[in-house]
Amino acid sequence: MERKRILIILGVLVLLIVVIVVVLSIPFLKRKGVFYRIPFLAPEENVKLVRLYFASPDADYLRVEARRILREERITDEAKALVEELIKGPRGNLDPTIPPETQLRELYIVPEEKCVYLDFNQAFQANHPGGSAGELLTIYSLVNTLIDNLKEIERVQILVEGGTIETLAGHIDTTKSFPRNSTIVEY
Amino acid sequence: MVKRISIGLVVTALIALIALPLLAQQEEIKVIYDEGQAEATVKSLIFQGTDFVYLKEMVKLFRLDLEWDAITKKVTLTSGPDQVIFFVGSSQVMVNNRIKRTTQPSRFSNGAIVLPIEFLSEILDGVLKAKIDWEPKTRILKVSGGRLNVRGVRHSSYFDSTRIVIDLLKPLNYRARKELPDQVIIDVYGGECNPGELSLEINDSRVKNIQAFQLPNATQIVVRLIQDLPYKDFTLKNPHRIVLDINPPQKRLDYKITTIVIDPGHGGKDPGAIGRGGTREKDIVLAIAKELKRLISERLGIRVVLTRTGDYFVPLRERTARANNERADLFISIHANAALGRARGGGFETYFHSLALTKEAKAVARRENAVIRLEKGSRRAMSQADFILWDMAHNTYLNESSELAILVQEGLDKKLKIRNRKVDQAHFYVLSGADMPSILVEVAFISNPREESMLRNPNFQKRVAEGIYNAIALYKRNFERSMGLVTTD
Ligand SMILES: [Zn+2]
Repeated sequence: MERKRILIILGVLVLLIVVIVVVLSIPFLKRKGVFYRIPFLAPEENVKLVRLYFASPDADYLRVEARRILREERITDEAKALVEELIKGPRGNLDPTIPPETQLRELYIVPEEKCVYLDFNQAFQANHPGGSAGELLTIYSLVNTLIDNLKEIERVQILVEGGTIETLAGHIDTTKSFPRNSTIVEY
Repeated sequence: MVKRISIGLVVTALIALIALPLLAQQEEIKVIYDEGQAEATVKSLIFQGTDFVYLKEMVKLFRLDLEWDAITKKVTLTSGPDQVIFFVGSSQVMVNNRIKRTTQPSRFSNGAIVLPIEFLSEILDGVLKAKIDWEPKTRILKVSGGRLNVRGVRHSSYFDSTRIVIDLLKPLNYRARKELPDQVIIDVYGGECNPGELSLEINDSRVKNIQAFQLPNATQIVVRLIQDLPYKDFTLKNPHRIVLDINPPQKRLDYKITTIVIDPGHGGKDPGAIGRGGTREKDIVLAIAKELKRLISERLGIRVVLTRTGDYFVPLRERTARANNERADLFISIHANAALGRARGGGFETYFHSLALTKEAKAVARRENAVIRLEKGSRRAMSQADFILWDMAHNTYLNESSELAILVQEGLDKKLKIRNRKVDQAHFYVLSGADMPSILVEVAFISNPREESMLRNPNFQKRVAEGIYNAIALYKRNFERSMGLVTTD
């Protein structure tokens, strides 16, 4: 009888420890990417799981942050929503890629070119930190996010105040549209 | 009771399973190629007694193409015609549509994908046509380059001539000859190649196409010309390559580096990146450029031209135009880096210019070209012109620029204590239009407060200049020596 009780207490204790360990380690393991951020629930009809590219903390690479956004009927609205999410910045431990003061003025898609044109306000360029690394992260977080999430899109063209710009801050050529770049992505 | 104990055991095992990934041990693996012809070190992690290597490092090491789907966790590796597909966490691997297994599955470690070492020796060796042996006792990975010692064919179209470059893994004997007036045949003895990868359409005003054939003991490369044109062949080193010039320039080119243009980034109304302490990129890079100019002209006796000598604005296009007018042999743009975010980056990196750097872009270009070939001009002619432009820009000076970039990065590594980030390629507005090898050096992160104060320090500026100077001196020596080795037909 006595032994039985001890065993029960022991069992409960072990279970408690397990629960604590598991609960404590979930955020840690999540952060470490041991389980990838996949929501357990099947996406509801009006919600879409999207992949947003943000900068790794040492500004070396882009990494994916998965996020659920409202599904939009029109592809231009969906593209706008993606850009807005990028401007809002990351929720996890990644770093932003777009100056927070940035506003998307207009967005249009040319289906024959499979290209989306993003027209930003002046703050996008004026508040950009500069640097080749900074420019590449900004450009390809937009490019890869839009191309990965919208199957109709293969290229992204950046505009500021309605026109093309030579560069964001003096380095990478932004006069033409960009295809996806996988070499800047860290897995 | 036995039940309880077994539940306890299961629970303990569960805890162990959760805790084990956190107990991974960091190690290093030495990679030896072709009986010691080259060596490399890669990181490894030991989980439960098995070595795991980083996918990212393997992709670089074995030059694989990688595709990753973060949502399904699917990894696709491509090497020429061969394809390996697996899902992270599964020990099943699809190799060219046949299922193979590893005893341990691939997994995540700190967000990075790691592969069990047997993935290399059991799976990748077949795909790479290489022999990969793992010696657990000595922790050495032996790679025998395998069959593919003729690695690739590239070309550059110049105004009067076309240069075709055959990349080799090691020096191989060869013979170039003409059997027909409009055909140059190169037999690379002992060469082994993947013919599909080496064949390409050129269609400039001199060369139609290049086709490769694998013979029993040689690789044969057939260059089809538009008309009867003279050619000249020779070899270069580092990396080993055979060069074939179609319609080579009659007068011998001056293979000496005599003029270097140094471009201090930004200036005038464009301050460049600004640090939190108020340091301006334009001031720092000008100081470094001036010091670099002093070192080069004093020690190498080479003419150095700065694109700006004070704090004034120079449009980007004028900088390379200046270098072209000066007939410069090298163009070096000096910048300080920046990024958004909390840490705001750190370290130095060197870029070289390339138009379509990504494999996606290449795939698009290739696909478009294929469509044109199939439909024989029924598609708009624009895509083909695009493709040729892309290819020309992609090939011209790419090799020299990347060599210089690697040397500069190594030169800085010896002089600086901050992080060595990487050599990378991108399409720079400031470098496009340069008719010479060109690089852009980001010497440190001005957006990182620690590095900002370093950048202000004249001593640090001097070390940066010395690092770049050493690389240029080495490049000059290598370049002129390799040109001296020219053996004409
Ligand atoms: Zn700059």
